[in-house]
Amino acid sequence: MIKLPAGISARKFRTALEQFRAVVGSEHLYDSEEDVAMYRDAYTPFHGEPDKELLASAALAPESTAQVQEIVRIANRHRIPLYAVSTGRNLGYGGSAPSYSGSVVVDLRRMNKVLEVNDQAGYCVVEPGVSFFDLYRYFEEHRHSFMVATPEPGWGSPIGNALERGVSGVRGENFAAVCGMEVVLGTGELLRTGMGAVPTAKLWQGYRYGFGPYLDGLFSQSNFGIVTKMGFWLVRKPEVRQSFLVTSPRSDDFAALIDTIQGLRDEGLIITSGAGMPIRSSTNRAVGNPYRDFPEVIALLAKPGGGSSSEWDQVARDRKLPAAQALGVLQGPAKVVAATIEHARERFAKIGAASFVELPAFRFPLDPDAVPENQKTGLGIPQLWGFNRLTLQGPNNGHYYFSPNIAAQADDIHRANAVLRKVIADTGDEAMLLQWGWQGGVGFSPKCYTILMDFVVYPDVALNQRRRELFKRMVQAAAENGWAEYRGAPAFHDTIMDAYSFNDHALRRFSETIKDAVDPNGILSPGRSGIWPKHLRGKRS
Amino acid sequence: MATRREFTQWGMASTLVLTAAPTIAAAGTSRAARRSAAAFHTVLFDPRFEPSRRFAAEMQRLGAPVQACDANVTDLWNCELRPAWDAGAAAIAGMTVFAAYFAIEMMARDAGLRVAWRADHRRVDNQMAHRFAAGRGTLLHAGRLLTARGDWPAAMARLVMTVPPRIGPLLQREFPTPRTAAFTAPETLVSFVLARGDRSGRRTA
Repeated sequence: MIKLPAGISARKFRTALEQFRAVVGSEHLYDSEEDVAMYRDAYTPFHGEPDKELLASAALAPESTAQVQEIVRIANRHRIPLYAVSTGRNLGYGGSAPSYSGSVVVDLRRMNKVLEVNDQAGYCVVEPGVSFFDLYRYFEEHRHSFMVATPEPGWGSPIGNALERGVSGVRGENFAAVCGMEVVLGTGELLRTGMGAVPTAKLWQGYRYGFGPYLDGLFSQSNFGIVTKMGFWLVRKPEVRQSFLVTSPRSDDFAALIDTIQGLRDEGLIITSGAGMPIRSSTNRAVGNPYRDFPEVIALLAKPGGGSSSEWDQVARDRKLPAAQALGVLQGPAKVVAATIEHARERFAKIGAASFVELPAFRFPLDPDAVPENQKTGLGIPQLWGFNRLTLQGPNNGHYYFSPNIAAQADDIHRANAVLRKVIADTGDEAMLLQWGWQGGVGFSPKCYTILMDFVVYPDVALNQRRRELFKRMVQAAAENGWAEYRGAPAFHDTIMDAYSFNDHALRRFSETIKDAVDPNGILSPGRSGIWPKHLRGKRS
Repeated sequence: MATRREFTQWGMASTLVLTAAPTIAAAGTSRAARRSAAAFHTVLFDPRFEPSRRFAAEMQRLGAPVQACDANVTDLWNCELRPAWDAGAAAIAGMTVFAAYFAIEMMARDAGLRVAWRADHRRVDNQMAHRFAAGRGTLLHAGRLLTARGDWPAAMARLVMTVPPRIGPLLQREFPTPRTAAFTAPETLVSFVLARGDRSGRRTA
């Protein structure tokens, strides 16, 4: 049974659908139950709870910006909520399901043209339906020497990924590469940002800011418009890309390792970084972690205070794992990479017990067949291999992420682990406690680390409900300590936005003031990022 | 209850209780098999696992073009499936690990393919459980074939070859069989047929 938008009669809905059909054609208007089911979130946190699951009422696939504008105008006339997706493959963050049930999904996959690649200036302009695979293929076929900043898996859209502030091993934050957008606003009006506002613009992708307020950020993680074109500054293929790993048998070296790796990053010498304590995270039941059954690790993690450094160092020696480690990734001309590696080696040599290991260097042009599967994504080769790593999740479960940003400092990582473990322990959820184990930080962003923790969704409805409550408690506990989610599944957008509560939620109030102005009927993605239009603010969870 | 992924992958599957014993005779004359073989662009199997090898051997015996894959289908999709689908190729079938099936099924949507039927095969104690999402006719054939043959991978091959791939409402049923084939994988194997016949999620005009 298809769920209609609240307050919209079946007759009115049918009228709107007929008008949508006239725009996109019958072939691209999907209103049968079977078709609409394709837009359900394969990983929904509300599995087995049909009254809670976020569901579309219909979907349609325009092929041009003009069609998107017309769809928005029709939706305004009939007050039909719309929800735009690019490839709709953002599993773990909502997929192609709307943030407000009853919305009509605007599936942008047919808008899949690479509009421009400028070799000299190093940028591209793409439509939202272009996937990372498409871009890679386009670069290869047209002999453009650029890397594709792809996440794993590579079936997503560069535009969708950037708007969601997704990341890649190639350059870290992908939104940082955005330069210029074309946006259909909530009224159907077309906006070009930055230099694109100059009708004869030659520097749309050359200079981000144009004149006046810098608007690009307003359209990321928001519901103020539908982005139909976007420019990206590209990463040229380097001569060499290489990583290095620094390990120490001493837990107390963790702080120095982080300070040193982040110092190198501040100097602009490395692209991404990360830090962890392999012995403490050895038992983690997290996605991709080859967890081990070390009872003494589990016992130490459970000990009040979490075990002393000397206790951990002893276990690390016994299990032949590092007590602490840091990772750096760099690329560039071979001579520069070699010199940077030597510089890094010297810096880490000041940490007495640390061992510096150069990981294999990759020389471009690459032979993709010679690159190990687990290295391809970081080298800009889109992959689908990551599903192999879902060992905990199993074949028929989904997941969503708890992913707060914390300071890139040892103290903060320890504190986050202590605080969040306690929240889990207080619920008595032993399985989740095992899964959490001990989490290190991933440094896609230059000045902070992200903790990435997957919540698996099982067929057990009661367990899922408890886990959702746990998730909310973790978000709240994180916020009380100054940390907050950088991204999340739509089911938790209100919870996450609640954490950004400075000055009586001034951020949300400001966002909703903008929402009311640029989308007066509140038809675009109601509830996305916790931003609700005026007539639905009572729906906030 | 269907799991979350099953719902999206199988469309609007609903639970079916078959009250009557399957009565349809197994089809599968050599002429029919040849016709079916021609309907498939390729049939995938994972050579790491004995049931999948047996499935492939039977498919090959029946005249289908088989192709090996593992859990990472990136190259298979890039080099083989995507160009074939872009060129209008029809159905594919296979017996793979879930990771491979999931990725292929998601990518197949872009080409307008959908699940004609799917069966998850997993070991439960000393039996195999075969959980189907399929049309009524396919379920009846499946029950007959699994009952008649001890060799369930070969039965799956015959099912692929005897039931024309059609897209329609999917119903669910689970069949147990004795565990006759070695099943070393700790994970679920999935048999499937993906075929054209739908519209939503399609990428190109």
